[in-house]
Amino acid sequence: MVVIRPLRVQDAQAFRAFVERLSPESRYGRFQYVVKEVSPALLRLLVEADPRTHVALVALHAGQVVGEGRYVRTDGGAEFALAVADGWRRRGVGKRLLQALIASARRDGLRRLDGEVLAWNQAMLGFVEQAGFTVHEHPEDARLLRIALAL
Amino acid sequence: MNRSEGISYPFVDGAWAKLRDAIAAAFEARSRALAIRELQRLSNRTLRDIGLERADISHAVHKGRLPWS
Repeated sequence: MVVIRPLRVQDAQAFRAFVERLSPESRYGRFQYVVKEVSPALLRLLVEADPRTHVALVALHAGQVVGEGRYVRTDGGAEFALAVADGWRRRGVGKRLLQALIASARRDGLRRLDGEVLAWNQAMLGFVEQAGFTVHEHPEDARLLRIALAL
Repeated sequence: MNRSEGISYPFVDGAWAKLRDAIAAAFEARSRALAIRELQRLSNRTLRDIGLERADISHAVHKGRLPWS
């Protein structure tokens, strides 16, 4: 059974293992740069995010992180990011994480959820379009597309 | 005769304290420089994940807003 819940400090090592188990393409898709390893400092920043501005969720199965979703509040909205372990795609994990992020954003009174997706990441684009996001050109970077969902 | 006789210990302690502070400051400066370099390697996407914009990196590190600082 997969459980979705807030990311906790105690999840740090499981979260690091999740990131390091992602395929290079998935890791690049999530972080948008070549992540060779998650340094202790970066891990701490990602796991101990400021709860006043961040919402970070994990999907857990048998103690392993199999998905991660988060948003950071911006002016009136939030920017989100999401990743699912390669072996757990198309099993509803991403959908549940996104639904939980949307529910949290609505509770927070946010008006929209934004994101950036690499233009080659057709799987992610299909996923967010199905969830109701609109897709737009990125004003500054041709490698990226902007996605947005009005809440 | 012990060659250290006649040396003022307060002077030695003061000099050592200055040296120690200088070393600590150098380590701190190096640690901040490394932190800034590590953050600059991150993508804009990942920086936003941790609540930073690229232009804020140096300020955030020097103001102690990050675990390195």
